Amino acid sequence: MNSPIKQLWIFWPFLAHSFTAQANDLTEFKNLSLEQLSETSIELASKKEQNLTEVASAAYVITQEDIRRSGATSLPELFRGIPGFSVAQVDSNKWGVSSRGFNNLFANKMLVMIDGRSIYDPLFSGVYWNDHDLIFEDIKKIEVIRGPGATIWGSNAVNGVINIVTQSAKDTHGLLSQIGTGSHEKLMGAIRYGSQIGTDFHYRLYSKYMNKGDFVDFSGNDAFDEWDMARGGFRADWQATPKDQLSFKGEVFGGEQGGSLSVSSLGQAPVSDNLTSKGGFIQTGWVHQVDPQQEFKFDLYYSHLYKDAIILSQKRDILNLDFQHQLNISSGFDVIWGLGYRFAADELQRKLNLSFDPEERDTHLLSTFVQTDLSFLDGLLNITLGSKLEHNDYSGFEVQPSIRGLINLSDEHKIWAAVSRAVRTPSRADHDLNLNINTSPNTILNIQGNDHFDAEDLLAYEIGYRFIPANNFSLDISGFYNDYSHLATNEPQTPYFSNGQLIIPVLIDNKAEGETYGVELSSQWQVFESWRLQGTYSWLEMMLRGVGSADNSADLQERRSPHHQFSLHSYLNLPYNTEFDSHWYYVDNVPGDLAPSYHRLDLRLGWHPLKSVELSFIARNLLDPQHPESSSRQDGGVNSSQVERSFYAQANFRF
Amino acid sequence: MKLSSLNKYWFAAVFYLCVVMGMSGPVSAEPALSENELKALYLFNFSFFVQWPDSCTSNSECDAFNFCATSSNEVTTKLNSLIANESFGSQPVNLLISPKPEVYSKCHVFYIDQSNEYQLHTLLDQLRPLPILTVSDIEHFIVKGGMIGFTRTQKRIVPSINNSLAVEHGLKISSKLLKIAHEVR
Repeated sequence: MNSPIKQLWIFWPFLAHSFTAQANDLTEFKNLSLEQLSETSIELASKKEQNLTEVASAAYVITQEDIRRSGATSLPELFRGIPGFSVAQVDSNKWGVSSRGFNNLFANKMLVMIDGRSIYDPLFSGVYWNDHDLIFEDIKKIEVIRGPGATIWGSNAVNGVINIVTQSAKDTHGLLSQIGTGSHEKLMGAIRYGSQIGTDFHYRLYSKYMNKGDFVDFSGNDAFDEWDMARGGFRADWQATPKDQLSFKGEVFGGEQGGSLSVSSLGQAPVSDNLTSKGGFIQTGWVHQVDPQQEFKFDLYYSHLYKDAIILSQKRDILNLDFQHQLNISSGFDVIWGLGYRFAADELQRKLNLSFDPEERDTHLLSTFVQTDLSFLDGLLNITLGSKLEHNDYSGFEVQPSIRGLINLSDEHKIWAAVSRAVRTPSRADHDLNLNINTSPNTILNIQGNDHFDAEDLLAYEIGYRFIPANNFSLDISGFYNDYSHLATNEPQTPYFSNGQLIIPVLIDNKAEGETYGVELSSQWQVFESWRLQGTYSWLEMMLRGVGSADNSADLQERRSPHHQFSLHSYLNLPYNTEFDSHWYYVDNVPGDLAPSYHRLDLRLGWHPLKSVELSFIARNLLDPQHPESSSRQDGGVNSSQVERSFYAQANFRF
Repeated sequence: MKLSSLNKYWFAAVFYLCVVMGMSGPVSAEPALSENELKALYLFNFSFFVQWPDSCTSNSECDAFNFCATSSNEVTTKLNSLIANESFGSQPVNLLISPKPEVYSKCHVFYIDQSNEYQLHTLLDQLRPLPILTVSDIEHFIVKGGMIGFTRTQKRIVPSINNSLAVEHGLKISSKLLKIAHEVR
């Protein structure tokens, strides 16, 4: 054990003696009877690999099989149908994705990660979905938690967490090549090669290119929102010793994204924007298993992003370091704790009417967390207690505790409940924004960030029930009541005249609060060997209001979230190695606004003429030629377009 | 708001539990096995509780008992350490790792790792004509055309068995194994 780790033990003097070094020679256990094997408790390799049915939160997993058969070609498309989630495509390359309400292009209350690397952008605490893509076959699974996950995951994990887990390089040997084209996807091409060096070092190299065409605007004209993206990267996994696992990942990407903006200072007509985006990351992880009871994890990544748009040019570098220690103290008592540090430096250059003050800023985020898992009465009751403590440059210290309990009534019935606090820490925009909007020739609305902007708070109460009556059927119901305070608002200040123009300053503030509540339901049914059904339903109510606020944005948020949504997925295996899959989604209308309710039907026909070849034919939005999904015709200055019916064909070859 | 008092209780509770449970000293008398180790032990044990048809298929090598998998993974690594220098009577025990269908006819137990999920259908089609015990940790494996699936219940792993499928293939699963199963079809 090295010295810094020894020092950390000072925090845990009372735990140190409970470990006994165990010789882990498996042959010792060779003579265990079947009964003994079936009674043996296993040590979970990682908290995050816990069985889904045993998690005391509203968890959902999208498997590789679901992904392959979804017919999706962009990440956000995979999130349609997750209970409690709202996915609205704004234009060809932009999406609003959120959990439990508050959806828009700049949705900011969700944490999104790829292999633990956070991909939400500190500028507005949201995700540039068009910058992130993978070869979908390289995704092992997507873990989704609705509701707060801040205790372990950290800030921004207010209404949900998405963690995309990629396949180990060990599982992606050989050559995979993909080619696809269609009415919306002009060209998709990807190639990946994986192999090993020696017995313990595995790697893959990949590259992907995607070019998607325009949608139409509300008048039926070309929306100029076509885009393309190219990326290349690698992943290597190295079992250095039986107890040390290292991984290395890296990627660079670049592309152009079209769009239409309504920037009043450029005149009344929409302006087409051609945004250049490029960036990359390198990441390395080390997992050290000390003994079967404890494990250390280190993770380090650096990422760079450059985006040049008509209104702003931005450059950002992020360096992130995480450490985690997981230990099983005794049977039924596990502790996991960790430390994290993130450094972000940006440069935001004014091009038109949008600027930031200061133009360059370095921020530091420090965090620590501890979580204990306790199991009582032979696993009947499991309690998870934990808290995160972090310090950010904008709002200082934030404490995010949670308590979760799961009752294992039997293998068939499980009940869980949780109370947690989570915060959405201020983004760079909340703090430093300076945006001028000409409302009339001589009037300027000047929206300003606020140095005293505080974190948005959530106190969440959740409850859930899982029913697993047989190996081929499961039902999951969860309900939540979220109590928000200090939600963001835009507060008009006293107007003044400057150079013959009326300037109305508007300050970003925390003057809204409210409650949201809802119920989410999901079910899986393997009807026959060859037919699987999957269904979800979500109901959401939002009651938000300003507190001494002159802004109606709280009201607007409320109006922009659909009350009812459901989805039904059918996966059918047919003779001659064919598959027929259908995905049906319903999204309720958004009251008083521009998005009517819609049904969406996507179909996929898959055929494996040879083991090494997979052909897919996909039809999307079969029910109408086009429809809007975004609840607003204009989202933060971005004009939304209508999602069109499209057809797509793809071939995968594996050697 | 209510948080300050909540925090206080929370810290008190954590502290209390750490002290009380930490002081109780070494308790873990049960064997501490990882999930993959347990699966490997099961695979090894299945060979004793399943009878394969006497007549070997035409090109199979009856002089050896073979565990198979398409690629090496944590479970097969553990299994390999279990079967080292092991023999069933006069039969040596081997682990064959190959994605080539030509090898399948030599297999007795075939472990299908989760990474095979995308080609499960094709793989099972190729194994179907052969008297091979198929084992996997893929979800709902026994309804997807497999014989033994590992089912996780709380912190345990228990096999679920599609016995009628095994019988169709001439495999006889012992009642002892069926008894501990989570579910039998």
